[in-house]
Amino acid sequence: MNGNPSPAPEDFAGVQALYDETMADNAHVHDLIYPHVFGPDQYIGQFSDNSANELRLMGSLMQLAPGSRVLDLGCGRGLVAAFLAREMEWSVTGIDLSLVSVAAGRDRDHDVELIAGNVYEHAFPDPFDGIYSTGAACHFDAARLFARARALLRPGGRLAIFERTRLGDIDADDWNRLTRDWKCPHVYTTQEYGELLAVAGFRVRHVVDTTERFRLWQERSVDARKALREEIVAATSPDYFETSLALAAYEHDVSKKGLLGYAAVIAEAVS
Amino acid sequence: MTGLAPLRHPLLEEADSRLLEIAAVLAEGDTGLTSYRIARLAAYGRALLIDGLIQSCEFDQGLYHEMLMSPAAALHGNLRKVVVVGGGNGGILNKLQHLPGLRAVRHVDLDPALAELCRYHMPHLQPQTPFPFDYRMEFDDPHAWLVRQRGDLAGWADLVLLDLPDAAGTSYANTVFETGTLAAAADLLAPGGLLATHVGHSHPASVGFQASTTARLRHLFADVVIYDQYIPSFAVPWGFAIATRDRKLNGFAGKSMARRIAALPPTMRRHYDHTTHLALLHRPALLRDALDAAARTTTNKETTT
Repeated sequence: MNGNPSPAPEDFAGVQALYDETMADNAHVHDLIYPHVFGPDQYIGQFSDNSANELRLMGSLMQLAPGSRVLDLGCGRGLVAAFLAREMEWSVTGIDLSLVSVAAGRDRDHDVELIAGNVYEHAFPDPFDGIYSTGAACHFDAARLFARARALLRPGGRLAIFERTRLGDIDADDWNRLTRDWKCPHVYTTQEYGELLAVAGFRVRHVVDTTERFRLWQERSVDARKALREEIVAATSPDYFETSLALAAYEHDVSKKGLLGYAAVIAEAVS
Repeated sequence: MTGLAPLRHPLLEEADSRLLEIAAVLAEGDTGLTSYRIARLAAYGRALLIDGLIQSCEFDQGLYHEMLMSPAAALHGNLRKVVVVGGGNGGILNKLQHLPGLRAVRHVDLDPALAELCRYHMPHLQPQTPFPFDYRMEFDDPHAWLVRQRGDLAGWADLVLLDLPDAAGTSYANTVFETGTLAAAADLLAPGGLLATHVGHSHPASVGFQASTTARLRHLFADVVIYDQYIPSFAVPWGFAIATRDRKLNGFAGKSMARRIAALPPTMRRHYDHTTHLALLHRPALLRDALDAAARTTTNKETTT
């Protein structure tokens, strides 16, 4: 692990509190900022650092037929699920720990089933053809998550993880800010994902590095916050604005140092 | 250096290889149809590799695509309907879209997942859409598609453009270069129409593929012109062919080519200018001799089998 610690225990109560309390009002600020980050036709309400084109690419590389049953793991408001259901003609079920996000998603009346719950505990009636997670797998111990995903997939099914990745050794202070503060057990490299997927019974089919544009999105998210200061303050508070700006700038700095990247890892269930 | 292992890239199968520094691996995997890698090479920029072989580099993709297409476009002079086989990475449409007289393009490629990856990671190859001409794209097995199109598109195309990967290993390009598929492609040509394709590398030490492909083209078509262009990122000269069923291609070496090349849109003659064209008319003796020897072997084999 080159100096970075082993995965910490998963903290799902902490994750739920993060989205249902600390960040409960974040969605409308997100809706203000991210059309400027991704471009107006590239923001579909996603919380992850992926444009619509990147989400579409991930969906294409899962190579699942129309009508496939697909699980969105950490679906939030279900807007990515609705997007991919429409684009790929899949039947998508979303699951998320956040009661606030799932309730907001249900209010939108899109054509996906949303479940408020824990993927380890929820009893799904049938195996899935595909499972994906965009920006939510960071809250899981990958070894445990992949074992659970394998159990939920039919043989030949596809698992896609679109997530931040570790590109270099991260010092203790940065490590704590990137993991403990966000209730993330670890930040994995794509190679570690590959090794853990193999142990869980998957064969990696695609690794797509999106770091170049991830850094662009981060840079724009700082610039957009500055440009939208009045609107953000009006919707929240000056303190919220300053905290949000500092956090965005900090993460951009970590990425610029070459320590954080972003990648899609897509694997096939083989055994 | 980046810390990534350098790319060991064969020039002539395993007999001669070189090492290329990789700045970053942008994507790699297996679509089920194609084993691919998209990397940023320190010397040549973004590169698409299929089955471990470089297919296109940012540095000189424009040169490759022009050398494949522009001589045929200049020779024909009035391309209105074009069939493109392969070229799902976008590079050929990027050039072709500038032809002012173009009315319709029918396009087939094997691999939608690879095309999607190229749209994301090879933006320099992508054409500007929507097109001002009737464009229809299908993902299908090119061999089966060409055979099927004999029904709908027979006699339709002013140009059939085969923008295929290396015919190496298990590549689908092998089936497209077979006599039956080339014959199906020929049947799509309108009177005066041309087929343009690459014919593999033009290295005197390894001309087997080019010799056999050229022999097939000469068997199927009334006239065939072969020419070479050194592609820096391939590190070898590459061979291209123009073929026709119903005319002589004497014009390729004629004085009118200067005027015809000048009439191409600027984006189709950035690298292929008249001086470059004149150099195409002279193949070195070492290569000619190697191809002649290989052609005799090919002919003898076909005679005895």
